[in-house]
Amino acid sequence: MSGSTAGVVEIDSLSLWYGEQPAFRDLNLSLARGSVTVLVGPSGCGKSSLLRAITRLHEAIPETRAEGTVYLNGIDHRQFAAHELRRRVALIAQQPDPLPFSIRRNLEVVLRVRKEAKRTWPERIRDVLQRVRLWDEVHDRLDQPAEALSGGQQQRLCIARALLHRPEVLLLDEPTASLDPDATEHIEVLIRELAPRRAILLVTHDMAQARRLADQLAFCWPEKGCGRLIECGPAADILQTPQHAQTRAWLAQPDT
Amino acid sequence: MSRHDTITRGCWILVGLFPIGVALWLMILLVGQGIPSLSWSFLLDEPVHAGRAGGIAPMLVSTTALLGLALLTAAPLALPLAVWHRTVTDKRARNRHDALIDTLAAVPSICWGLAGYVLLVRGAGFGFSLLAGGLTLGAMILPTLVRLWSDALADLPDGQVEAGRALGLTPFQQALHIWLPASAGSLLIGMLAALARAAAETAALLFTSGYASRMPASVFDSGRALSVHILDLAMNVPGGDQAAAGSALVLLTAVLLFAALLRPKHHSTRKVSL
Amino acid sequence: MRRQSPLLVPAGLLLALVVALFDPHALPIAPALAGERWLPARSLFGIARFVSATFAVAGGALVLALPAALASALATHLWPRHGGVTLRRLTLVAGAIPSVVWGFWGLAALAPLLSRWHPPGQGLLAATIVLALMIWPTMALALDAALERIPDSRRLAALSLGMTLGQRLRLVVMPSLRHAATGAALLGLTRAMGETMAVLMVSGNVGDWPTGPFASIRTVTANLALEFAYAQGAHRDALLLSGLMLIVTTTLLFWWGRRLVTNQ
Repeated sequence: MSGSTAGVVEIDSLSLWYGEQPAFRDLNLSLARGSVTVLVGPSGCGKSSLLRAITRLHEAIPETRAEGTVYLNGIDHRQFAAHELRRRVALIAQQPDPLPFSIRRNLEVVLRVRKEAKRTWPERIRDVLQRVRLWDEVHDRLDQPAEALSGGQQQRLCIARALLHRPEVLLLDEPTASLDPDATEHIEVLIRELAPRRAILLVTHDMAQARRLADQLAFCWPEKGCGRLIECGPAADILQTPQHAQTRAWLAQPDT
Repeated sequence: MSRHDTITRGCWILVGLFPIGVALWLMILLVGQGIPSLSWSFLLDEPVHAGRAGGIAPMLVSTTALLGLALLTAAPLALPLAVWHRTVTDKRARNRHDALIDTLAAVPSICWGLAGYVLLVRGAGFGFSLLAGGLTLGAMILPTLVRLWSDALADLPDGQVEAGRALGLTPFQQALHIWLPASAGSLLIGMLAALARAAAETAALLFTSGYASRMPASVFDSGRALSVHILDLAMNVPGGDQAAAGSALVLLTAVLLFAALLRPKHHSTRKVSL
Repeated sequence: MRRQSPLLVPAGLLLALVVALFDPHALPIAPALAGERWLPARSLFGIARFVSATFAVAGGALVLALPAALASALATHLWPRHGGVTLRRLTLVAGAIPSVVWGFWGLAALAPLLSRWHPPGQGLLAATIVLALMIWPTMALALDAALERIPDSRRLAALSLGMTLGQRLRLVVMPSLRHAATGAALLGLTRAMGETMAVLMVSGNVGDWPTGPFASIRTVTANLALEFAYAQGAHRDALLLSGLMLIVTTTLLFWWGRRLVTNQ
């Protein structure tokens, strides 16, 4: 019952319903430290819903219900206080969602939440902005509104914000969907850099991106509006010899 | 949700219930104090001894007359405005209209009373009369009525508006044949809510419809509204508290019955919780 | 021009109001309004005490009502499973309670309570409490709407940053409400300044400076209600002018507040 502790995160036959409509069903997936898992599939297969369910964000959405379990380091994620869980498992939204404050304040909010000593803040902010390679671009305008940044910069700020919690797991929901190729490359490099010490789950529908980043590859497919995990395994294996017909069809598509 | 959050939530809900609790206290107190006065004769008799005894029949008649006159004044102006508001496509004109209507709604009611006195009681020579009071009240509730009716018509699906347009009807034909029947219910509720506001009004009536507590014979007679009666009993008539409580209970019941029909503006139910 | 013609109705009404209250012949009296003493029999028309009383009582009501309105609006949103809808309706109903009924409650219930402390209990404090109870529903509904406008993305962002509810309210919700709260406060202030009956009934009406909680104060509106019925000549002109000043002041405050509430 304790769930195998092979991965940092073990998703054990997880299902989620919005009202009567299932978003995805009976999903099993394991995320290991130091590895990037890429979840690929068409829109409407419950990818975003899965990320929310892992961090129990669905509890804040009315008429939403989950079944099954997610283990974080072998512990059922419902045993954590919700805010504690979300600090350890960071979720980066598809649309960058900086709070309507200055760049500095967006980061300070997290440091305040963590009750870190105020004198360490400037250093922490500089470190984390350097980590996401934003420091050089914004160090002289930290007090300007975060919403004035470009999309790619906002997304890196959001990643920086999440990193301040030193999360063990990073969940990224199509982080480059709204970005241009340069900004996309920035984010991808960053993801590879962050991978060695964390478990990362990246959702995308861009197969080329999946090829570039994935250690483990998972395919999702909607059946009557309800997402199913149809295939999952080491990226190299799946790219070589896909088992499932839909996977083969998906892989045969020209990259966008 | 963590226990920590539950405590925070509970605290805010408790504190947030405090003001509504005081309002409920007022109502309970008034019911307790007012019920002994209530009887058929209280509603049907004329007041005796400046209102210490007897009933409130003339005030009910005056209030009804005032409300009727106010509605007759405001409705014919408010309905076209609300219809125009629903059909107009010029956003700037609509914003200007909204700003004007809101400004009117924010004018202190006693200022309406002053204007009514200057223009109607004196200027038009109506004297202290139900007519002057009704017209003043009508002007005062006009913005409220326009707002409530615009909201009622705004709930109509755009499809119905388009359909009317496709039939080649003028906006007013559309209004008459399609919208008014379709939203009759919410228009009625809006009307009652505006009347509730009018019935609650006192300050605008002091200098327009006056204080006379006898049964009005025509709209040119002075007539004392129920709210003015409460003021008079509470302030100027020693020993009038019992009758004041009874009158206040009648007024409150009527006003709240009307107001309770009004539904708060629609709020989505599938929002992420705070 | 035809498109704008419906605007003539409200604009005409507003104009009628101003025309009714503004009499050019009364203008020479205007400077006298700045004085301290109001003794119409001796042609002293100073309303300084009334104006200060109006601001004191309305400001005090605001200080009490704003936290109440905020708490009530938050409770509406924090109530689990849409229970807040009932609270919202109750708030709407509470806002419809006639001011004369509040005044009666103030006289019959609140003043006796306060008079245990300082008889007769009427005065600045009683008027402030009654006014606060009258204006909080309007403000609560404005804040409620502002809370509703906080976008889902911001709510999710705050949640996924691992904030507790208290932290979300303090660090994200309150800052989001800053403009709306200022606007709601101004709308409440407008309403409080224009209110007549409830204040008239519980404030004592002597016309003291608003120096203590039991000062027997008289607001500009109460002064109008008490004296206009029998005022003649210069006395009447002075009252009408004070009414006009009231309209101008409340309208300006209202516009400011409205802008803050409607523009995010």
